[in-house]
Amino acid sequence: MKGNIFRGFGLVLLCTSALVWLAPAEAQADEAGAAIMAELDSYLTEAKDQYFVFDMITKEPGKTERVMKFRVTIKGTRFRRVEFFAPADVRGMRFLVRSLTQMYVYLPAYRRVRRIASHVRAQGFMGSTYSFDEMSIVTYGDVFACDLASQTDSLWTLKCQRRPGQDFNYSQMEIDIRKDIHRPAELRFLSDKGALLKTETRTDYSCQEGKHVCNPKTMKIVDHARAGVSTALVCKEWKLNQGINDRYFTVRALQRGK
Amino acid sequence: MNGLARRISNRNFAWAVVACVALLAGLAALGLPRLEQDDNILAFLPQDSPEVQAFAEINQRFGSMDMALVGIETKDVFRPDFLTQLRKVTRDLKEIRGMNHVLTLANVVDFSPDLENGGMVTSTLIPEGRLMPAELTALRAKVLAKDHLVGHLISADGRALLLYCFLAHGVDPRAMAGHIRSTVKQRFPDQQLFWGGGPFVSTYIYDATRSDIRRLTPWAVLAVVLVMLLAFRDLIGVGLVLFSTGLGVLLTLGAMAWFGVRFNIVLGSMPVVLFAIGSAYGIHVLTRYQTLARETDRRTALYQTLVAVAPVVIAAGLTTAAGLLSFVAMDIQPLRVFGLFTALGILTILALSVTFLPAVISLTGLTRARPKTGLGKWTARLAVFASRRRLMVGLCLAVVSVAGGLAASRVDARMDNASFFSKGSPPDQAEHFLARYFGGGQFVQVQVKGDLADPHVLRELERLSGRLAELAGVAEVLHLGQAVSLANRAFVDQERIPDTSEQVRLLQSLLAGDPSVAQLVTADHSEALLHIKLIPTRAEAIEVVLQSIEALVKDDLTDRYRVVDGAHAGVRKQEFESRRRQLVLAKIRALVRRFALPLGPEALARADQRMSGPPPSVSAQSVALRLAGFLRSDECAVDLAGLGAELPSRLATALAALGPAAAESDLTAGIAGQLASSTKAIDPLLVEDLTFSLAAPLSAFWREQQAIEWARAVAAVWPPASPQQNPRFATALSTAMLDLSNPTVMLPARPGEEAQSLACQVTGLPVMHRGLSASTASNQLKSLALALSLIIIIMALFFRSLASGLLVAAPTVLTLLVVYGGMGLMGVHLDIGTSMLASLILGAGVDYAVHLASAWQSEPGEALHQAAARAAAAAGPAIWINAIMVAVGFFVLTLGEARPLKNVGGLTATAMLVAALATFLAIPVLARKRRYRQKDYDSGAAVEPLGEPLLDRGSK
Repeated sequence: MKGNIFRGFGLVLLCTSALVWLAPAEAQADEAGAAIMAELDSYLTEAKDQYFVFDMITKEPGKTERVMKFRVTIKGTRFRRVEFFAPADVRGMRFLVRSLTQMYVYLPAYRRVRRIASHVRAQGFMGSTYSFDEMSIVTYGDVFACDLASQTDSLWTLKCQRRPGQDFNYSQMEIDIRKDIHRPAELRFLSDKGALLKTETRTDYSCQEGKHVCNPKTMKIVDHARAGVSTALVCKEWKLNQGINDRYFTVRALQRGK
Repeated sequence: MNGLARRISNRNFAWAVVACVALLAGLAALGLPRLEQDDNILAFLPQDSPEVQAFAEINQRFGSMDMALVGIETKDVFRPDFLTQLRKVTRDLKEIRGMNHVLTLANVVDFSPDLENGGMVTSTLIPEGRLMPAELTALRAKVLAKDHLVGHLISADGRALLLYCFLAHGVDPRAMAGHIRSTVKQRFPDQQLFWGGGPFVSTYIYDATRSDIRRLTPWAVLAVVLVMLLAFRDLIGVGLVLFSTGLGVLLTLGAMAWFGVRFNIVLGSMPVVLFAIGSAYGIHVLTRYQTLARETDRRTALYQTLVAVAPVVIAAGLTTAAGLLSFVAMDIQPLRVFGLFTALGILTILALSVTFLPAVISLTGLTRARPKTGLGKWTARLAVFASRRRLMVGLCLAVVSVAGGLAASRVDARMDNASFFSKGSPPDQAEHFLARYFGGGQFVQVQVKGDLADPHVLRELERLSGRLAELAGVAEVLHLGQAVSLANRAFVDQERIPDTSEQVRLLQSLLAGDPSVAQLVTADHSEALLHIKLIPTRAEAIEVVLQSIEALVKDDLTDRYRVVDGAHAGVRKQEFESRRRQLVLAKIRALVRRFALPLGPEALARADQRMSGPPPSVSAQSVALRLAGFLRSDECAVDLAGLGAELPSRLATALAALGPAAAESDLTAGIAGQLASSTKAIDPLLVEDLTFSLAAPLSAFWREQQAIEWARAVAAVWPPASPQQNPRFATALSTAMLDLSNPTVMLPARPGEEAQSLACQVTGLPVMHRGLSASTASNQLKSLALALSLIIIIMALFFRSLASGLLVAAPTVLTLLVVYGGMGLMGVHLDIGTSMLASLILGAGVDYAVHLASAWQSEPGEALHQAAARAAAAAGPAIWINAIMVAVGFFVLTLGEARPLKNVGGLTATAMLVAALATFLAIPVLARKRRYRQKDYDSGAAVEPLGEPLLDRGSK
């Protein structure tokens, strides 16, 4: 029997459901969890707004490296806007996320805005190893209940179980948190059976306003299931607390690109 | 040889030989752990065939062989417990290390328009949680109405599913096939499961062959041993020969290990070949020794044995090695390695038979005489009969040869799936499952090179796909245009190839990284594949379809083209219009086929005639309605809610009244006018934003309404039982009609015109099989010619006569004609396995003639039949015992599952018996000399006497 077949046109919707990765997670009260996680979450949500420029580099064995460049603007834990400026095929494409059910994409080639309500969160974003869940998670304490498993002079290692009712893609997570800046150094996502599925590393942190707001220069996720395919998000520019107006996160602003 | 014979009788020398062999065996044994296994089944593809090269290249670029298919047959897919298990297995499969992507009905994404807020809603097609009966009924209807899923992920009757597992680059397909199999079996222990796709098929071929070899080799060796024991009734003697042969196998494997040669699947049969064929050399030595040992002392018997038999055994061994060495002329690397190292094994066993074996006999004083059998007498009668009735027997042999030759001419080289797996095997079952539920399991690809981001190219491929789908034997054609059209629908509600390159590029970028899309187009948009699903499964029928596909692709494709704008078409305006209609008609034909409608060429001609007429009018009211809906939706950039509930309707009516070609300035003015009636202070920015926001949708609404009217007009010219009653068809027809307003069209370039190019090449497994068949035929001829030449040269040198060399080769040539004639009569094709037969038979079969011709001698005054009788009586028993040994050894291989091994085993077994018989018939018929060797083969009369005892100090 011949192997090569195309089917699964349904997955062309990758492009549409791709928008979900921008969605912020529903914040929940951090009930009891570990104090470490509570502190981590408080630091992660310290900034009023942030602006990033990223290079997203996906490396897959046997294939040419794929590079995408985009800007991300975040306000609080809900509003996000992303604008692509490379490669040429997607230049000018813009996403706006106002909530899980309010997402919009502006497609320059069509000169129109499309509203998308997506309930698909487990898929990878444009061939990268980042799933919508990994990209959209803002705080961890509401999603995972964590125990301190071990610690060294520089790291806490927490073992976490997904809280009941949460639909995050992975049921288990291990997280190494740096003691000096109270930020994740490595996150390991595991299956129900405890198999390691993905590892995310965050390196080269730089901090502003003391240690309250820190950002890694590089975030990299390796998908172990996909034989080591990896995507690195390299932060080229980072600004915070610029006083960005809410109007920036409207459909009109998205359409105008302003 | 005299010198060696004399030295072997010396105990010290004999000990030295044994010690050397022991040392070498030790070294070989040490090297064995270094021997690596080569699992790559693709290494069996010939490297020189263009078809095979193209297949391998395309497979690497598009990852076609990296997809495993799992079929599940069940009573009803839409059962709560089944769907729960499907969700679980989808997740489990995704978590297998080395899995790039999994696609099943459980994770396929669905999208639908959001009628309340505008835009669309995406979700998994199968909702989470346990569904109630009514929900399941609704789900069934929803899923089975989706054309892009039915026949791909689920069967039309909802009783069969396909799970697609895309493996990551560079992972071991065998290991992955095992993981997938165990994962699915765990979740569906009671369902009928089928395993298809490259990883499963290659794993099956490899595992079945390896399992057969592992399972059957001990039995084959045991069968050989039993035959030997029955023949010799001498456990020690037989054990000695087997030990010597085993050492030869060990030394050969050791040599492979130390030279870094990997052990491939064909080499797995090497021990059987070496034991079955190689042990003959030891048998000839032992037989002669035991015969002589009855009449003389041990030393003399050994000496005379070596002097008389060793040259003949060496000559026979060299012919076998030559036959195997001829494999180096093949263009399949594993077969070359097999030929080279099996030949080395034969030579090693040969060397041990004339050194190590006599040395051990010399040291152990093995003297047991071989019991007499009736074989010699019976064979002598046969040979005498043939010699006395030369004319009659010769005529019979000639008739058999001619008949065999005629039947052999029917043997064709044909490589297809049946060459690799038998009926009822798992890949065969998977193929039938796919044919039964999914329209077919065989695919042919068309490789396209051009600008695949150009919508005109995609439309041309869509048209070509439509034509291909109309061919007899084609189930369906999958192409990039379908994926792009679906993505386009997600963004602008039109399931069609968009109008501009920018739009196509954007959609393809959004699809990037998806393994199923990666099987359709390369990342740089320069190459694509059309996947043509075939209905037939038999190679002959597939070949017929393949030829029609090749002819159509060659004749129908617009390979040099220009993109012409309708507004500036000039003298080509008529051609432009005609081409645009043709593209739409091609779509209509595809729809007629898809919906199985009773619309023939006449109906299509009427549709064409209608489309060449004036466009139907479009109601501005219908456009206004849709525009009002957009203005109220969340997709509209400006929230008009605060400006009055009636404003969207009023605004939409006013703007629709401006007509389909309204300029942007007119729209701006219209918007400003309507807003002025609702608010005093008009924000110019708001007007600008609103103009920008609604311009594209408004234009799309006009175009869509026009297409709907076109669809109605076309359907109106069809018979009363009009297909437009089917709402799905009506929607699809309207979408097809959108292309009637395409602003640009691809036209064939005129001679001398600057043009873009589009190139197509038909490829895929059936094409690769064709290349493989040609290669197999070529390999067969090359290796046969080389083997025959080498054997005749060796024999001519050995017998010091070309005529004698030809005489000795004659029985084997006759054997080949009989065996290949039998293949022709039984419909056995030439494939990778059977192409090895000729050289194998030639090399091994000629041994018998060598022995008979060497023993052939008559005294002056004696008739030739006395030479025949003497030779047959002397050589016959050993020849028959060897023929039976080889036949039994190879016959055991027919008890396995692997098709190539079964063919080779059965045919070689038959060939060896035929070769023995042919030897005792053909040589007596053709032999005209009193003797063919200078020295006496049998009596030892011409053998020089033993040397001085001082040469044999050890025996004192």
